[in-house]
Amino acid sequence: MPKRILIVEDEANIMESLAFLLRRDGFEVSTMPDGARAMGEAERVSPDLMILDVMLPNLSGFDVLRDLRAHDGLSATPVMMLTAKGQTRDRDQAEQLGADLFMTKPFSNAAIIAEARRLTGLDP
Amino acid sequence: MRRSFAGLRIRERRLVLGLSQTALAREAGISPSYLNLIEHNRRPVAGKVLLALARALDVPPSALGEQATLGLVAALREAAADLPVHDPETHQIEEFVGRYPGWARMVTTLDQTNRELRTTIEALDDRLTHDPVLQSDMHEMLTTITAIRSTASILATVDDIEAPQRQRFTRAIHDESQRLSEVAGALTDYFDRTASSDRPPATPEEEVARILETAGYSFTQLEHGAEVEPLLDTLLPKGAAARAELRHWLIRWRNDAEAVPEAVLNDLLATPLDLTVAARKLGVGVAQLMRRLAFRQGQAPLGLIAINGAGQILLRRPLPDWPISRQMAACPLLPVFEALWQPGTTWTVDVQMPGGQTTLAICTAEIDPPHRMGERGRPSATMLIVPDSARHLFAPTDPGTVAAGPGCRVCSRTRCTARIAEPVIAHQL
Repeated sequence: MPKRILIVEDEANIMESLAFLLRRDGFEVSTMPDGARAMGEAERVSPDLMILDVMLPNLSGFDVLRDLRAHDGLSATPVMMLTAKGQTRDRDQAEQLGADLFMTKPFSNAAIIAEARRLTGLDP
Repeated sequence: MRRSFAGLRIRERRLVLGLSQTALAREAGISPSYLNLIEHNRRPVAGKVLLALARALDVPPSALGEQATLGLVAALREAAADLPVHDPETHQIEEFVGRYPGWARMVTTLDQTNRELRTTIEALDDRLTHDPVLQSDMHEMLTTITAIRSTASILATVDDIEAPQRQRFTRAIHDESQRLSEVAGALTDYFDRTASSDRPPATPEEEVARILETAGYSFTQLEHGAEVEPLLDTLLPKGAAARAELRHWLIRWRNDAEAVPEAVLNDLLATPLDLTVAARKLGVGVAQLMRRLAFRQGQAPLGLIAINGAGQILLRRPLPDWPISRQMAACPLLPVFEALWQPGTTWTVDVQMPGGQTTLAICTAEIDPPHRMGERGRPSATMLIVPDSARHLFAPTDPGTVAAGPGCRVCSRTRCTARIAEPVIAHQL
Protein backbone atom coordinates (compact mmCIF):
# COMPACT_ATOMS: atom_id res chain seq x y z
CA MET A 1 0.00 0.00 0.00
CA PRO A 2 1.74 3.25 -1.10
CA LYS A 3 2.00 6.15 1.33
CA ARG A 4 -0.33 9.05 0.53
CA ILE A 5 0.87 12.67 0.32
CA LEU A 6 -1.32 15.74 0.01
CA ILE A 7 0.43 18.76 -1.51
CA VAL A 8 -1.28 22.09 -0.74
CA GLU A 9 0.49 24.62 -2.97
CA ASP A 10 -0.92 27.36 -5.21
CA GLU A 11 2.13 27.68 -7.47
CA ALA A 12 1.19 25.34 -10.32
CA ASN A 13 4.72 24.70 -11.57
CA ILE A 14 6.10 23.92 -8.12
CA MET A 15 3.14 21.65 -7.43
CA GLU A 16 3.60 19.80 -10.71
CA SER A 17 7.31 19.16 -10.19
CA LEU A 18 6.77 18.06 -6.57
CA ALA A 19 3.92 15.73 -7.57
CA PHE A 20 6.02 14.27 -10.40
CA LEU A 21 8.99 13.62 -8.10
CA LEU A 22 6.95 12.08 -5.30
CA ARG A 23 4.86 9.87 -7.62
CA ARG A 24 8.07 8.72 -9.25
CA ASP A 25 9.34 7.76 -5.81
CA GLY A 26 6.26 5.57 -5.25
CA PHE A 27 3.98 7.89 -3.30
CA GLU A 28 0.30 8.35 -4.04
CA VAL A 29 -0.09 12.10 -4.50
CA SER A 30 -3.12 14.42 -4.25
CA THR A 31 -2.87 18.14 -4.88
CA MET A 32 -4.85 21.16 -3.77
CA PRO A 33 -4.10 24.79 -4.76
CA ASP A 34 -6.51 26.43 -2.28
CA GLY A 35 -6.10 26.77 1.50
CA ALA A 36 -9.82 26.89 2.22
CA ARG A 37 -10.39 23.53 0.53
CA ALA A 38 -7.32 21.80 1.97
CA MET A 39 -9.05 20.30 5.02
CA GLY A 40 -11.85 18.84 2.89
CA GLU A 41 -9.26 17.15 0.69
CA ALA A 42 -7.34 15.92 3.75
CA GLU A 43 -10.53 14.35 5.16
CA ARG A 44 -11.11 12.70 1.79
CA VAL A 45 -7.65 11.17 1.32
CA SER A 46 -6.36 10.84 4.96
CA PRO A 47 -2.77 11.56 3.93
CA ASP A 48 0.33 10.08 5.58
CA LEU A 49 2.02 13.46 5.03
CA MET A 50 0.81 16.94 4.16
CA ILE A 51 3.18 19.27 2.29
CA LEU A 52 1.80 22.71 3.03
CA ASP A 53 2.75 26.07 1.57
CA VAL A 54 2.48 29.07 3.95
CA MET A 55 1.10 31.64 1.51
CA LEU A 56 -2.09 30.24 0.05
CA PRO A 57 -5.22 31.86 -1.37
CA ASN A 58 -8.28 32.14 0.89
CA LEU A 59 -6.74 30.47 3.97
CA SER A 60 -3.07 30.60 4.98
CA GLY A 61 -0.96 27.51 5.54
CA PHE A 62 -0.79 28.37 9.26
CA ASP A 63 -4.60 28.38 9.46
CA VAL A 64 -4.78 25.05 7.66
CA LEU A 65 -2.20 23.62 10.08
CA ARG A 66 -4.20 24.92 13.08
CA ASP A 67 -7.37 23.27 11.74
CA LEU A 68 -5.51 20.04 11.06
CA ARG A 69 -4.07 19.84 14.57
CA ALA A 70 -7.57 20.45 16.01
CA HIS A 71 -9.18 17.74 13.83
CA ASP A 72 -10.12 14.54 15.66
CA GLY A 73 -9.07 12.09 12.99
CA LEU A 74 -6.20 13.99 11.32
CA SER A 75 -4.39 15.75 14.17
CA ALA A 76 -1.39 13.39 14.09
CA THR A 77 -0.72 13.86 10.35
CA PRO A 78 2.95 14.84 9.79
CA VAL A 79 3.27 18.26 8.13
CA MET A 80 6.13 19.67 6.06
CA MET A 81 5.71 23.43 5.63
CA LEU A 82 7.08 25.28 2.61
CA THR A 83 7.77 28.97 2.49
CA ALA A 84 9.78 31.47 0.55
CA LYS A 85 10.21 33.51 3.69
CA GLY A 86 12.81 31.73 5.74
CA GLN A 87 12.41 34.20 8.55
CA THR A 88 12.54 33.23 12.19
CA ARG A 89 9.02 34.54 12.80
CA ASP A 90 7.46 32.15 10.27
CA ARG A 91 9.59 29.29 11.49
CA ASP A 92 8.62 29.93 15.12
CA GLN A 93 4.95 30.12 14.24
CA ALA A 94 5.14 26.87 12.28
CA GLU A 95 6.84 25.15 15.22
CA GLN A 96 4.32 26.47 17.73
CA LEU A 97 1.44 25.22 15.62
CA GLY A 98 3.01 21.77 15.43
CA ALA A 99 4.70 21.57 12.02
CA ASP A 100 7.12 18.65 11.82
CA LEU A 101 9.46 20.30 9.34
CA PHE A 102 9.96 23.71 7.80
CA MET A 103 11.51 23.81 4.30
CA THR A 104 12.65 27.11 2.82
CA LYS A 105 12.33 27.83 -0.88
CA PRO A 106 14.32 27.32 -3.00
CA PHE A 107 14.78 23.74 -1.82
CA SER A 108 16.46 20.82 -3.52
CA ASN A 109 14.41 17.95 -4.95
CA ALA A 110 16.61 15.41 -3.20
CA ALA A 111 15.96 17.05 0.20
CA ILE A 112 12.19 17.01 -0.35
CA ILE A 113 12.21 13.32 -1.29
CA ALA A 114 14.47 12.38 1.64
CA GLU A 115 12.32 14.29 4.14
CA ALA A 116 9.07 12.91 2.69
CA ARG A 117 10.42 9.39 3.15
CA ARG A 118 11.55 10.11 6.69
CA LEU A 119 8.25 11.71 7.74
CA THR A 120 6.20 8.83 6.33
CA GLY A 121 8.37 6.24 8.06
CA LEU A 122 10.06 4.86 4.93
CA ASP A 123 13.75 4.08 4.61
CA PRO A 124 15.68 7.12 3.38
CA MET B 1 5.59 77.67 42.78
CA ARG B 2 7.76 77.67 39.69
CA ARG B 3 10.99 79.59 40.13
CA SER B 4 11.86 82.50 37.90
CA PHE B 5 15.30 82.34 36.36
CA ALA B 6 15.42 85.61 34.43
CA GLY B 7 17.30 87.02 37.42
CA LEU B 8 19.89 84.29 37.26
CA ARG B 9 20.49 84.95 33.60
CA ILE B 10 20.82 88.69 34.13
CA ARG B 11 23.36 88.05 36.88
CA GLU B 12 25.36 85.57 34.74
CA ARG B 13 25.44 87.94 31.79
CA ARG B 14 26.47 90.86 33.99
CA LEU B 15 29.36 88.87 35.44
CA VAL B 16 30.46 87.79 31.98
CA LEU B 17 30.65 91.45 30.96
CA GLY B 18 32.51 92.29 34.17
CA LEU B 19 29.94 94.87 35.29
CA SER B 20 29.12 95.67 38.90
CA GLN B 21 25.48 95.77 40.03
CA THR B 22 25.81 99.50 40.45
CA ALA B 23 27.13 99.99 36.93
CA LEU B 24 24.43 97.88 35.34
CA ALA B 25 21.70 99.49 37.41
CA ARG B 26 22.88 102.94 36.37
CA GLU B 27 23.01 101.88 32.71
CA ALA B 28 19.47 100.47 32.91
CA GLY B 29 18.09 103.41 34.85
CA ILE B 30 17.08 101.47 37.96
CA SER B 31 18.39 101.42 41.53
CA PRO B 32 21.10 98.92 42.53
CA SER B 33 18.88 97.53 45.28
CA TYR B 34 16.06 96.87 42.80
CA LEU B 35 18.53 95.13 40.49
CA ASN B 36 19.71 93.06 43.43
CA LEU B 37 16.14 91.93 44.11
CA ILE B 38 15.66 91.09 40.41
CA GLU B 39 18.87 89.08 40.26
CA HIS B 40 17.79 87.06 43.28
CA ASN B 41 14.40 86.44 41.68
CA ARG B 42 12.58 88.37 44.37
CA ARG B 43 11.08 90.75 41.87
CA PRO B 44 9.69 89.86 38.46
CA VAL B 45 11.27 91.54 35.48
CA ALA B 46 9.30 92.57 32.40
CA GLY B 47 8.36 95.47 30.18
CA LYS B 48 10.53 98.56 30.12
CA VAL B 49 12.91 97.31 32.82
CA LEU B 50 13.54 94.08 30.89
CA LEU B 51 14.17 96.06 27.69
CA ALA B 52 16.56 98.42 29.47
CA LEU B 53 18.49 95.57 31.08
CA ALA B 54 18.70 93.67 27.79
CA ARG B 55 20.04 96.76 26.05
CA ALA B 56 22.58 97.35 28.81
CA LEU B 57 23.68 93.70 28.68
CA ASP B 58 23.78 93.74 24.86
CA VAL B 59 21.43 90.76 24.41
CA PRO B 60 17.96 90.52 22.87
CA PRO B 61 15.18 90.75 25.50
CA SER B 62 14.04 87.24 24.53
CA ALA B 63 17.36 85.89 25.82
CA LEU B 64 16.46 87.14 29.31
CA GLY B 65 12.70 86.59 29.17
CA GLU B 66 10.72 83.63 30.47
CA GLN B 67 9.26 82.29 27.25
CA ALA B 68 12.44 81.00 25.62
CA THR B 69 13.59 79.63 28.95
CA LEU B 70 10.37 77.73 29.54
CA GLY B 71 10.78 76.05 26.16
CA LEU B 72 14.34 75.09 27.02
CA VAL B 73 13.34 73.67 30.40
CA ALA B 74 10.64 71.55 28.78
CA ALA B 75 13.04 70.32 26.11
CA LEU B 76 15.65 69.42 28.74
CA ARG B 77 13.07 67.53 30.80
CA GLU B 78 12.26 65.58 27.67
CA ALA B 79 15.96 64.89 27.06
CA ALA B 80 16.36 63.74 30.68
CA ALA B 81 13.41 61.39 30.30
CA ASP B 82 14.88 60.15 27.04
CA LEU B 83 18.21 59.09 28.56
CA PRO B 84 17.45 58.43 32.23
CA VAL B 85 20.43 56.12 32.47
CA HIS B 86 22.69 59.10 33.13
CA ASP B 87 20.58 60.14 36.11
CA PRO B 88 20.67 63.88 35.32
CA GLU B 89 19.99 66.36 38.15
CA THR B 90 16.44 67.14 37.01
CA HIS B 91 15.70 69.24 40.10
CA GLN B 92 18.34 71.71 38.88
CA ILE B 93 17.18 72.05 35.28
CA GLU B 94 15.88 75.58 35.77
CA GLU B 95 19.09 76.71 37.36
CA PHE B 96 21.09 75.04 34.58
CA VAL B 97 19.02 76.86 31.95
CA GLY B 98 19.30 80.12 33.82
CA ARG B 99 23.05 79.94 34.26
CA TYR B 100 24.11 78.26 31.04
CA PRO B 101 21.49 78.90 28.33
CA GLY B 102 24.04 78.17 25.57
CA TRP B 103 24.92 74.75 26.96
CA ALA B 104 21.24 74.06 27.58
CA ARG B 105 20.42 74.84 23.96
CA MET B 106 23.25 72.60 22.83
CA VAL B 107 22.02 69.68 24.94
CA THR B 108 18.49 70.03 23.61
CA THR B 109 19.75 70.31 20.04
CA LEU B 110 21.81 67.15 20.51
CA ASP B 111 18.82 65.37 21.99
CA GLN B 112 16.63 66.47 19.10
CA THR B 113 19.23 65.31 16.56
CA ASN B 114 19.59 62.03 18.41
CA ARG B 115 15.82 61.45 18.26
CA GLU B 116 15.66 62.27 14.56
CA LEU B 117 18.53 59.93 13.76
CA ARG B 118 16.97 57.16 15.81
CA THR B 119 13.70 57.60 13.96
CA THR B 120 15.53 57.48 10.62
CA ILE B 121 17.43 54.33 11.61
CA GLU B 122 14.26 52.64 12.84
CA ALA B 123 12.47 53.60 9.63
CA LEU B 124 15.29 52.21 7.47
CA ASP B 125 15.54 49.04 9.52
CA ASP B 126 11.80 48.60 9.41
CA ARG B 127 11.81 49.18 5.72
CA LEU B 128 14.49 46.60 5.08
CA THR B 129 12.70 43.93 7.05
CA HIS B 130 9.05 44.81 6.52
CA ASP B 131 8.80 46.82 3.32
CA PRO B 132 5.77 45.25 1.65
CA VAL B 133 7.11 45.84 -1.86
CA LEU B 134 10.48 44.25 -1.08
CA GLN B 135 8.84 41.39 0.81
CA SER B 136 6.42 40.68 -1.96
CA ASP B 137 9.02 40.90 -4.72
CA MET B 138 11.46 38.75 -2.75
CA HIS B 139 8.75 36.15 -2.19
CA GLU B 140 7.84 36.18 -5.85
CA MET B 141 11.48 35.85 -6.86
CA LEU B 142 12.18 32.92 -4.53
CA THR B 143 9.00 31.15 -5.59
CA THR B 144 9.96 31.50 -9.25
CA ILE B 145 13.51 30.35 -8.61
CA THR B 146 12.13 27.33 -6.73
CA ALA B 147 9.94 26.35 -9.66
CA ILE B 148 12.82 26.74 -12.14
CA ARG B 149 15.31 24.90 -9.94
CA SER B 150 12.99 22.01 -9.20
CA THR B 151 11.82 21.59 -12.80
CA ALA B 152 15.28 22.00 -14.32
CA SER B 153 16.65 19.47 -11.87
CA ILE B 154 14.03 16.92 -12.99
CA LEU B 155 14.82 17.54 -16.66
CA ALA B 156 18.54 17.18 -16.01
CA THR B 157 18.40 14.02 -13.91
CA VAL B 158 15.37 12.00 -15.06
CA ASP B 159 15.70 10.27 -18.44
CA ASP B 160 12.36 8.53 -18.85
CA ILE B 161 9.96 11.48 -18.90
CA GLU B 162 7.08 11.07 -21.30
CA ALA B 163 6.97 13.61 -24.12
CA PRO B 164 3.85 15.57 -23.01
CA GLN B 165 5.19 15.83 -19.45
CA ARG B 166 8.63 16.91 -20.71
CA GLN B 167 6.93 19.54 -22.85
CA ARG B 168 5.00 20.86 -19.81
CA PHE B 169 8.22 21.08 -17.79
CA THR B 170 10.01 22.92 -20.58
CA ARG B 171 7.08 25.30 -20.89
CA ALA B 172 7.13 25.83 -17.11
CA ILE B 173 10.80 26.83 -17.18
CA HIS B 174 10.11 29.25 -20.00
CA ASP B 175 7.15 30.84 -18.18
CA GLU B 176 8.92 31.05 -14.85
CA SER B 177 12.02 32.61 -16.47
CA GLN B 178 9.78 35.24 -17.98
CA ARG B 179 8.22 35.87 -14.59
CA LEU B 180 11.65 36.11 -12.97
CA SER B 181 12.74 38.76 -15.49
CA GLU B 182 9.62 40.76 -14.76
CA VAL B 183 10.04 40.69 -11.00
CA ALA B 184 13.76 41.54 -11.33
CA GLY B 185 12.80 44.51 -13.51
CA ALA B 186 10.17 45.61 -10.97
CA LEU B 187 12.75 45.43 -8.17
CA THR B 188 15.25 47.49 -10.16
CA ASP B 189 12.58 50.12 -10.88
CA TYR B 190 11.68 50.19 -7.21
CA PHE B 191 15.26 50.82 -6.10
CA ASP B 192 15.73 53.44 -8.82
CA ARG B 193 12.62 55.27 -7.66
CA THR B 194 13.77 55.07 -4.06
CA ALA B 195 17.24 56.36 -4.90
CA SER B 196 15.89 59.36 -6.76
CA SER B 197 13.35 60.29 -4.12
CA ASP B 198 12.83 63.94 -3.21
CA ARG B 199 13.92 63.40 0.38
CA PRO B 200 16.13 66.30 1.45
CA PRO B 201 19.72 65.33 2.29
CA ALA B 202 20.01 64.18 5.89
CA THR B 203 23.64 65.20 6.48
CA PRO B 204 26.13 67.71 5.04
CA GLU B 205 28.04 64.75 3.53
CA GLU B 206 24.91 63.59 1.75
CA GLU B 207 24.29 67.11 0.48
CA VAL B 208 27.81 67.29 -0.96
CA ALA B 209 27.40 63.84 -2.51
CA ARG B 210 24.19 64.95 -4.25
CA ILE B 211 25.78 68.14 -5.57
CA LEU B 212 28.75 66.18 -6.94
CA GLU B 213 26.49 63.60 -8.53
CA THR B 214 24.34 66.27 -10.15
CA ALA B 215 27.46 67.97 -11.53
CA GLY B 216 28.84 64.67 -12.82
CA TYR B 217 31.81 65.20 -10.46
CA SER B 218 33.14 67.77 -12.89
CA PHE B 219 33.45 71.56 -12.57
CA THR B 220 34.92 72.76 -15.82
CA GLN B 221 34.29 76.37 -14.71
CA LEU B 222 37.33 75.90 -12.49
CA GLU B 223 39.70 75.07 -15.33
CA HIS B 224 42.42 77.71 -15.78
CA GLY B 225 42.58 78.64 -12.09
CA ALA B 226 39.14 80.26 -11.69
CA GLU B 227 38.02 81.23 -8.19
CA VAL B 228 36.28 78.65 -6.03
CA GLU B 229 34.14 80.98 -3.86
CA PRO B 230 31.82 82.33 -6.59
CA LEU B 231 31.10 78.79 -7.77
CA LEU B 232 30.54 77.65 -4.18
CA ASP B 233 27.97 80.46 -3.76
CA THR B 234 25.98 79.15 -6.70
CA LEU B 235 25.97 75.61 -5.27
CA LEU B 236 25.21 76.23 -1.60
CA PRO B 237 23.81 79.21 0.32
CA LYS B 238 26.11 80.97 2.76
CA GLY B 239 26.00 79.38 6.20
CA ALA B 240 25.15 75.90 4.89
CA ALA B 241 26.84 73.21 6.97
CA ALA B 242 28.15 71.44 3.87
CA ARG B 243 30.07 74.45 2.54
CA ALA B 244 33.41 73.64 4.17
CA GLU B 245 33.49 70.13 2.77
CA LEU B 246 32.40 71.24 -0.70
CA ARG B 247 34.95 74.08 -0.71
CA HIS B 248 37.70 71.61 0.14
CA TRP B 249 36.52 69.34 -2.65
CA LEU B 250 36.40 72.16 -5.23
CA ILE B 251 39.87 73.46 -4.32
CA ARG B 252 41.30 69.98 -4.79
CA TRP B 253 39.46 69.65 -8.11
CA ARG B 254 40.92 72.97 -9.29
CA ASN B 255 44.45 72.02 -8.19
CA ASP B 256 44.17 68.68 -9.99
CA ALA B 257 42.93 70.46 -13.12
CA GLU B 258 45.89 72.84 -12.96
CA ALA B 259 48.31 69.93 -12.63
CA VAL B 260 46.71 67.96 -15.46
CA PRO B 261 44.82 70.33 -17.79
CA GLU B 262 41.96 69.02 -19.93
CA ALA B 263 43.98 69.20 -23.16
CA VAL B 264 46.80 67.15 -21.63
CA LEU B 265 44.32 64.65 -20.31
CA ASN B 266 42.72 64.26 -23.73
CA ASP B 267 46.17 63.70 -25.29
CA LEU B 268 46.91 61.04 -22.70
CA LEU B 269 43.66 59.24 -23.43
CA ALA B 270 44.29 59.17 -27.19
CA THR B 271 46.27 55.97 -26.68
CA PRO B 272 45.96 53.23 -24.04
CA LEU B 273 47.23 54.76 -20.83
CA ASP B 274 49.91 53.48 -18.48
CA LEU B 275 49.27 55.54 -15.33
CA THR B 276 52.79 55.12 -13.92
CA VAL B 277 54.45 56.28 -17.14
CA ALA B 278 52.02 59.17 -17.65
CA ALA B 279 52.32 60.42 -14.05
CA ARG B 280 56.12 60.36 -14.24
CA LYS B 281 56.07 62.21 -17.56
CA LEU B 282 53.79 64.93 -16.18
CA GLY B 283 55.56 65.13 -12.82
CA VAL B 284 52.34 64.45 -10.88
CA GLY B 285 51.27 61.70 -8.48
CA VAL B 286 49.45 58.64 -9.81
CA ALA B 287 46.64 59.30 -7.30
CA GLN B 288 46.24 62.84 -8.65
CA LEU B 289 46.02 61.52 -12.19
CA MET B 290 43.46 58.94 -11.05
CA ARG B 291 41.33 61.69 -9.47
CA ARG B 292 41.52 63.69 -12.65
CA LEU B 293 40.32 60.70 -14.65
CA ALA B 294 37.50 59.84 -12.27
CA PHE B 295 36.20 63.37 -11.64
CA ARG B 296 35.57 64.37 -15.23
CA GLN B 297 32.67 64.02 -17.54
CA GLY B 298 33.45 61.26 -19.95
CA GLN B 299 31.57 58.80 -22.07
CA ALA B 300 32.74 55.93 -19.90
CA PRO B 301 32.77 57.12 -16.30
CA LEU B 302 35.31 55.64 -13.91
CA GLY B 303 34.71 54.98 -10.22
CA LEU B 304 37.13 55.90 -7.45
CA ILE B 305 37.75 55.22 -3.78
CA ALA B 306 40.45 57.00 -1.79
CA ILE B 307 41.17 56.00 1.79
CA ASN B 308 43.48 57.12 4.57
CA GLY B 309 45.71 54.89 6.69
CA ALA B 310 42.81 54.10 9.01
CA GLY B 311 40.77 52.82 6.08
CA GLN B 312 38.33 55.74 6.22
CA ILE B 313 36.89 56.71 2.87
CA LEU B 314 38.16 60.16 1.89
CA LEU B 315 36.86 60.40 -1.65
CA ARG B 316 34.38 58.39 -3.61
CA ARG B 317 32.84 58.30 -7.00
CA PRO B 318 30.36 55.43 -7.11
CA LEU B 319 29.23 53.80 -10.35
CA PRO B 320 25.80 52.27 -10.98
CA ASP B 321 27.29 48.76 -10.65
CA TRP B 322 29.69 49.81 -7.90
CA PRO B 323 27.85 51.62 -5.15
CA ILE B 324 30.32 52.81 -2.51
CA SER B 325 28.93 53.45 0.94
CA ARG B 326 29.93 56.71 2.64
CA GLN B 327 30.02 54.85 5.92
CA MET B 328 32.76 52.51 7.03
CA ALA B 329 31.10 49.46 5.55
CA ALA B 330 33.48 48.56 2.77
CA CYS B 331 34.65 45.00 2.17
CA PRO B 332 38.13 44.46 3.68
CA LEU B 333 39.02 42.33 0.66
CA LEU B 334 38.89 45.33 -1.68
CA PRO B 335 42.39 45.78 -3.11
CA VAL B 336 42.48 49.45 -2.10
CA PHE B 337 43.21 48.30 1.45
CA GLU B 338 46.00 46.02 0.28
CA ALA B 339 47.47 48.95 -1.64
CA LEU B 340 48.20 50.72 1.67
CA TRP B 341 50.99 48.21 2.33
CA GLN B 342 52.81 49.05 -0.90
CA PRO B 343 53.20 52.82 -1.22
CA GLY B 344 54.80 53.91 -4.46
CA THR B 345 53.47 50.95 -6.43
CA THR B 346 50.67 51.03 -8.97
CA TRP B 347 49.11 47.72 -9.95
CA THR B 348 45.99 46.25 -11.50
CA VAL B 349 43.68 43.47 -10.41
CA ASP B 350 40.31 42.12 -11.49
CA VAL B 351 37.83 42.29 -8.62
CA GLN B 352 35.22 39.56 -8.69
CA MET B 353 31.97 40.30 -6.83
CA PRO B 354 29.70 37.60 -5.35
CA GLY B 355 27.39 37.72 -8.39
CA GLY B 356 30.34 36.73 -10.61
CA GLN B 357 30.80 40.07 -12.37
CA THR B 358 34.42 41.21 -12.64
CA THR B 359 35.72 44.79 -12.76
CA LEU B 360 39.25 46.03 -13.31
CA ALA B 361 40.74 47.99 -10.41
CA ILE B 362 43.93 50.08 -10.60
CA CYS B 363 45.43 50.72 -7.19
CA THR B 364 48.12 52.99 -5.89
CA ALA B 365 49.26 54.28 -2.52
CA GLU B 366 51.47 57.13 -1.48
CA ILE B 367 52.81 58.75 1.67
CA ASP B 368 51.54 62.30 2.01
CA PRO B 369 54.65 64.26 3.09
CA PRO B 370 54.78 65.71 6.61
CA HIS B 371 54.32 69.46 7.04
CA ARG B 372 57.17 69.93 9.50
CA MET B 373 60.15 68.09 10.90
CA GLY B 374 59.25 65.45 13.45
CA GLU B 375 55.85 64.70 11.90
CA ARG B 376 55.28 61.37 10.19
CA GLY B 377 54.11 61.09 6.61
CA ARG B 378 50.53 59.82 6.27
CA PRO B 379 49.69 56.97 3.92
CA SER B 380 46.70 57.08 1.60
CA ALA B 381 45.55 54.72 -1.11
CA THR B 382 43.47 55.29 -4.21
CA MET B 383 41.64 52.75 -6.36
CA LEU B 384 40.33 53.53 -9.81
CA ILE B 385 37.37 51.36 -10.80
CA VAL B 386 37.36 50.63 -14.52
CA PRO B 387 34.14 49.16 -15.92
CA ASP B 388 34.37 47.07 -19.09
CA SER B 389 33.19 50.02 -21.17
CA ALA B 390 36.37 51.93 -20.16
CA ARG B 391 38.94 49.12 -20.13
CA HIS B 392 40.22 50.15 -23.57
CA LEU B 393 41.44 53.45 -22.11
CA PHE B 394 44.23 51.65 -20.25
CA ALA B 395 47.29 49.78 -21.41
CA PRO B 396 46.65 46.05 -21.16
CA THR B 397 48.20 44.31 -18.18
CA ASP B 398 47.97 40.83 -16.79
CA PRO B 399 45.88 41.38 -13.69
CA GLY B 400 45.26 38.61 -11.21
CA THR B 401 41.81 38.16 -9.71
CA VAL B 402 40.69 38.89 -6.19
CA ALA B 403 37.30 38.06 -4.66
CA ALA B 404 35.56 40.87 -2.79
CA GLY B 405 32.04 42.00 -1.94
CA PRO B 406 29.84 44.99 -1.29
CA GLY B 407 30.32 44.90 2.53
CA CYS B 408 29.34 42.15 4.98
CA ARG B 409 25.80 43.39 5.69
CA VAL B 410 24.70 43.09 2.10
CA CYS B 411 27.11 40.41 0.87
CA SER B 412 25.88 36.98 -0.16
CA ARG B 413 29.33 35.34 -0.26
CA THR B 414 29.35 32.24 1.91
CA ARG B 415 32.33 30.82 3.80
CA CYS B 416 34.17 34.15 3.66
CA THR B 417 36.96 34.23 6.21
CA ALA B 418 36.90 38.04 6.22
CA ARG B 419 33.24 38.22 7.27
CA ILE B 420 32.70 40.22 10.47
CA ALA B 421 28.91 40.68 10.37
CA GLU B 422 25.97 38.60 9.24
CA PRO B 423 23.97 39.85 6.25
CA VAL B 424 20.83 41.77 7.21
CA ILE B 425 18.59 39.57 5.08
CA ALA B 426 20.52 36.34 5.51
CA HIS B 427 17.66 33.98 4.77
CA GLN B 428 16.70 35.62 1.51
CA LEU B 429 20.32 35.88 0.41
